[in-house]
Amino acid sequence: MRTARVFRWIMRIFILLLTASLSVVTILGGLSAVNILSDPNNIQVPAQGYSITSNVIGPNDTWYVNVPIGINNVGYFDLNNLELDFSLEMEFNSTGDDSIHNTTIYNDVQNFGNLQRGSSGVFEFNATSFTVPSFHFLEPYEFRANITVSAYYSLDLILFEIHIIDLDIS
Amino acid sequence: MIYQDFLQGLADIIGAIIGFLKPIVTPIGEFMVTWIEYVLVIFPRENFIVYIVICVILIATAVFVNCYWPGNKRPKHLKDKGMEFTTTENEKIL
Amino acid sequence: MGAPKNMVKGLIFMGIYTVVTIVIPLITFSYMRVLSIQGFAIELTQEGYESISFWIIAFGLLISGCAFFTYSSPKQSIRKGVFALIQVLINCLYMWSYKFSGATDIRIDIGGYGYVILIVTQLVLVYMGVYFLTIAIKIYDLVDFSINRQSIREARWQD
Repeated sequence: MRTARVFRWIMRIFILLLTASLSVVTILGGLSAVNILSDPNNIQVPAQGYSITSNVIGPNDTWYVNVPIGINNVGYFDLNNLELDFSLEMEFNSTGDDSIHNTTIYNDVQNFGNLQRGSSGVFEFNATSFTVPSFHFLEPYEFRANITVSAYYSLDLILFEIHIIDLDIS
Repeated sequence: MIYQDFLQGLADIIGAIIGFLKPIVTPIGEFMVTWIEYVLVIFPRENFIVYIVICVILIATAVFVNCYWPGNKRPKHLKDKGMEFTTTENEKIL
Repeated sequence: MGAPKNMVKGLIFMGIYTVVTIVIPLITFSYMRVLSIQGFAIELTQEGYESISFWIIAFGLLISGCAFFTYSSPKQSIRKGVFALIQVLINCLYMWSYKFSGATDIRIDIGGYGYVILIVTQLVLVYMGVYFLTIAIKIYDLVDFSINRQSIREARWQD
């Protein structure tokens, strides 16, 4: 065999190793997804219910929202850069007639870091700084949340996002 | 359990390989994407005829080229030097 | 190897590439349109499906045509090197065209609540890096076949 061919074979083996590794990552990622999704308790968004605390609905009151996320990482890879994007919309009537207004009173992202494989954790999202319109509300009022949980998986090669839209948390 | 351990071990090995090579391979991939995005613009969309014509031309040209230059003729420089080989194939041709 | 043998080899590989680049992906995406995981449907819009199908067939045709040319060419010939290189380049376009069709963002609908998206762009980028190395090998082959043309032809004649 010519020397040029030997070098080529070394390169080919290197490429084969890389391609095989990527294929294995894809397969293990799929198996992890099956493991995680096969039990609904592995991902709970939100876990244990959420709590909204406010004494009197009005612009000068102290508001507090707590959204816990429970994740049990039973897959083969670590879950990295876990983020929760929480936005809260309020539908309210401030005039006494039938008109319903809609405003976003909270929108923020919190990063919870990494969750190692085989471990589980409950991450608490705490929202305190609300932008509440400067007038008093009349009944009825409703809260609707848009929650996005995102994280990297499979050695940061796959990004997954769970979007929960218009969740009624009144 | 052994199966799970095996897969976990495999994930560790692959993780080490990808973790080492990813910082090298990903920037190269980004460079690839840059030129690919430029090139893709020139490819017509929603018109199969162009692709079918190119495919037919490729096949026809390959057939034509193979008929004229099948790659089993004796190299000219060997003919000039009068070199011959004694393989069975050559004996048949000669 | 004579012309008929070359062409049979080319036809076989063209068939393989047609199945791998056109038939299997088309069947997979058609299946994905009606697939649901634990009752949650994988969402692939009609527009997305048509776009994916178009690129799969278009580049699949080019790849299959190139495969016929490549594999019907004599071993280690310059024309084999040229068309093998073209084939890999088209393969890159084929793969990245999935991105334009939205196939690298897999969306699973959670009825009534929202949806889950799997974004595999990073994975595709690493694959692209691997493709670059493949292109490098093909260029290397082409240079090797050109420089050592005489010795390759002699060796082929001896075989």
